[in-house]
Amino acid sequence: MLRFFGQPKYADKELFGYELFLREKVAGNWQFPKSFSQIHGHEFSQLLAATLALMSTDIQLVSINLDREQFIEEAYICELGRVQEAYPQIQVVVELTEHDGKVTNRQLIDAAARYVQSRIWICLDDVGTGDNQISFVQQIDPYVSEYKFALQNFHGKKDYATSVSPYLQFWREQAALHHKFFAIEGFENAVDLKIAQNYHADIKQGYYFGRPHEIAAQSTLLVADH
Amino acid sequence: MVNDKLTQLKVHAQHVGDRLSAMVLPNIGAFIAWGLIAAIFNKTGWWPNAHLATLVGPMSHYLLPLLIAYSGGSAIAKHRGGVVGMIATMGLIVGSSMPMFIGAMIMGPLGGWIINRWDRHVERRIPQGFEMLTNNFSAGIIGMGLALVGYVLIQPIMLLGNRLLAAGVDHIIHTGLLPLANILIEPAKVLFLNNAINQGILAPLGTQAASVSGQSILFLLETNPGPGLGVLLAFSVLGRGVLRTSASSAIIIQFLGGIHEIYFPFVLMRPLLLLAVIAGGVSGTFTFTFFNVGLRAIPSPGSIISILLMTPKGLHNLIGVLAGILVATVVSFALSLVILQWYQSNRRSALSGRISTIQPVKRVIFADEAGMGTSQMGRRIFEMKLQAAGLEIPVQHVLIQNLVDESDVIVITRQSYAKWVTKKMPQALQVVAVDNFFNAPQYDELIKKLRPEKII
Repeated sequence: MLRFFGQPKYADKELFGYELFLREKVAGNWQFPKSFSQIHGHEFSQLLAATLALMSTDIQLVSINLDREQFIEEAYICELGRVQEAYPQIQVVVELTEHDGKVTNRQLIDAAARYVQSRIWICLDDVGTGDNQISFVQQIDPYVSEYKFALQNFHGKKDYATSVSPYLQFWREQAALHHKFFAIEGFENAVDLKIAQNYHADIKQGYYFGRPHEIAAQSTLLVADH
Repeated sequence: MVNDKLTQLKVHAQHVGDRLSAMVLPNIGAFIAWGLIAAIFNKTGWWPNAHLATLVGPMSHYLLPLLIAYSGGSAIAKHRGGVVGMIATMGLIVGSSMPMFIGAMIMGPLGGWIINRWDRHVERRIPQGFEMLTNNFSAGIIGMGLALVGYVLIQPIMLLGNRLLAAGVDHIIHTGLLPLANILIEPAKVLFLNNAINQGILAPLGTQAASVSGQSILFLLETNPGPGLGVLLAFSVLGRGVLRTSASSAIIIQFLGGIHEIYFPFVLMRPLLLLAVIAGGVSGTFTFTFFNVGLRAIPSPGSIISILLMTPKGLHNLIGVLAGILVATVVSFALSLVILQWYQSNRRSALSGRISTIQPVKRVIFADEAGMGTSQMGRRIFEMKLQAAGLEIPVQHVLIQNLVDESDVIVITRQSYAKWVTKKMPQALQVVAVDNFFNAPQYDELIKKLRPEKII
């Protein structure tokens, strides 16, 4: 059995959306699916639609992760477009992950254009990591709405606070220059909050604000007390 | 063609009036405090106290004009605009013997506008890390420049204008057309230009006349509460939302407390009401002339209580003074009702789901509660759509509790707050309620309506 688990997204103190992660129930426990490639676009989109139907009216946006192969698949492009059309009250965002793939930039840009035509937003996940480096970012720029910076990629590194700041500064500036929303994920504690506070993230996400949980029928808007 | 020009003129006059009123209304509390201190502790007050009365001068000379300047500047460029507006106004205040309210209404917004244009021009050119330095020095240098311009250029013009008004009133009095003096006195009052008339003409001439005959009608020309009372009564009947409730309480402060300044913003908001106060003032003075009544000395404050205390003994005098106040009130009230009804019938067509072609849009406001970040994001999305459409309309984000009612604005807010915002902004062209700040279909619908000819 597959479900979407949602990790809360905050804009300032407002819980306004979720990043959705697929989980599979195995022997009574929820875990990462053994193989993402076996999940077809149609099944994925049906599950997404069922999840959106459970969302409260205060949820304005949900994001889902697609790797590069999934991103250019016709099934995903068409089916996700249908889901967005069926649920216009919630903005669907596709987060393009930074994992290496045998996909050309041209294919990615063409696919991005089709998602945007279906009114779906594109977010570049883990900017500055993997394939989501500045050169690709500049090429796909017209179709992207959001840059997402991952603090967790710097956790555990020596001199974490000083090493992460220049990257945050750079991507914050890039987002401002190109009129994109800037999201920071990977907040795990108050130290992360302090480091990131000068970089004015539009969207914040991380274990500090909430872990992914099963999406059930919801009723009230949650406002963070942090 | 002529109709279009008249319409544009009318719209601009209303826009100017709204701006002037928006500078005074938020600071009414300060005006009340100043008026009460004067009424209680001045030499002619209810409980004279020379020490406490020393508060009156600096408050009217510094506090009130600076508050007006801050309101005017911050409406354009937030706190920075307010600060620069205040610095600029100091140039007018220093060296002037009269309170510079109208000067503050000019320099405050001017300071805000200049710093706003500067910030937009240099925004992308400031080197990284130099933002604070540039912002602070630019505010200081621009403020300094405006203060000097105010001191050297604007202040003498303001003083000249005042003297011309006073000379005009003096001439009218000496040609024996006393009731017509209110044609100049009433607008001068509303624009805070009445000091030169009061202290320069009416008080000395009145005192001279009273020393001979024991009374003078000149003491009633400016202090008659009738014209202002008529306007406030009309607003308490026909006003909407916060205007109606504040007009009702303003009546007590104006008529019984003698703080006339409280009705000035109401007239500034609807400039045509100047006709009502002029008609009220002229008819009141005509009635005083008809009954041949006057006061023993200048009533301070200009409340009904002080006026009656200054009325010479005798039933005839009492009837004459009361008749003049009553006639002024009735005439002002009747005309104000007609004028307000005319304004509201114009507004009804603007609020019936479409933006009227005679109501250009001054700006768009995204209104929300504190801590709700999606409306800030929605503001940026809408701003980019406006830019893509080639429309230069300012878009601001304002907390709902800080909203100040004004016309010519469109307010966008979330569905659950729509009623609250509508109550706070009854004059707004439109309140748009959205379910989702990221992809509201109302954004594109609104932009289709916002043609260039609708923009101020």
